[in-house]
Amino acid sequence: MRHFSKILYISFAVIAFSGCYGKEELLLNNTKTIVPLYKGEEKSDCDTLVITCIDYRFAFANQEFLNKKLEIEGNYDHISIPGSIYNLVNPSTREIVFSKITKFVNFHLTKRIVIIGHRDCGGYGGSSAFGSEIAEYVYLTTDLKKAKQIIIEKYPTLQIDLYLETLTKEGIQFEKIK
Amino acid sequence: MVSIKNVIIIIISMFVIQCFYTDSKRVVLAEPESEKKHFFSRDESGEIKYEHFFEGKKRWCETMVINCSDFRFARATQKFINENLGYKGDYDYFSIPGSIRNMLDKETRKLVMDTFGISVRLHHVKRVVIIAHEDCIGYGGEETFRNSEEEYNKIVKDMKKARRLMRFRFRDLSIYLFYGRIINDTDVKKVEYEQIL
Repeated sequence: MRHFSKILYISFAVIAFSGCYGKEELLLNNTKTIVPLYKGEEKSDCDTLVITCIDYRFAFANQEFLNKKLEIEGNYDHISIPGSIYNLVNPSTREIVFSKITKFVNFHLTKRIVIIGHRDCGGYGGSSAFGSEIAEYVYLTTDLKKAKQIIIEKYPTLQIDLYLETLTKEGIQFEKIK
Repeated sequence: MVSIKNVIIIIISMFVIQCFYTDSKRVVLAEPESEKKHFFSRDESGEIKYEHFFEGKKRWCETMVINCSDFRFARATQKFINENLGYKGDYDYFSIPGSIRNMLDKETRKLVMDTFGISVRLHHVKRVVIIAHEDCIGYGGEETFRNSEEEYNKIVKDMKKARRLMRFRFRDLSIYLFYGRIINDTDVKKVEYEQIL
């Protein structure tokens, strides 16, 4: 009976971890799905690195914007993290994010970086964290410019384009920031 | 005999573990059956309706996609998610070099888990799709493995480990794993996605 409490501990631990194991059901009918690649996707290097936010309202619009407006379909690496450059500007996490960027610039010989931020961003705490629309606009644009400065200090030859997007009822507006 | 003290300690410790590691305390609102059939952000033809995002927070997004940043797979993966899986306009798109490789590194695990937590807390995600692929920079490319079978086994093992970690932190999420490969049998290149159960 002395060991009874130990057995109890172990059994509780087993219950706590057992939920982590196990399989999932099939999402599609088959395990294997084949998707054809588009033309011009057989290169070994790409020219552009894109940094965006994860937000579901903007995810599809970003893809359309990159593929059709900027015409870099199949020619860009895509980093997508909450708040886009929030973690790059923030000093405590800057090193981790920057190490990812250097990896791409060195591996794929990137020439251009496109950064897309957006309003009402969850990484910044939403629109309500700023007070007014103008304050939000100014804060986000200065952060984008800060990120540009940080990258240019290390890679002065890169071309960096900044965009800010806004959600409207008709669709998504992209504004280029100079 | 088992003392009452021991039992109380066990119950409290279980409670503490649950509180620390469970991040998905969400309230599931009752929805009428008719609304469940089509997605909130899309109309019947499948186009995204941006007006719906303004109609109050009735519904959030359902899916979180975690993908690698690699440009060779980017377009194929977008097509796979939008058309084959049919999640267009309804997913958070995470794209980090090496997809879940970052979650297994102890240095970056906390940052990555916290960023996933933003999606789970703010957007009330219900399912996660993790997509890894062959010849990934996060693992140092093809050269680090002896053959493609070894590479496949290593990445699948890592994905399953990541799934366990995520299930431990975020309860009640269903997590689906996919492995992408480029096939060169004829002139046309294709990408094959295999689901790992």
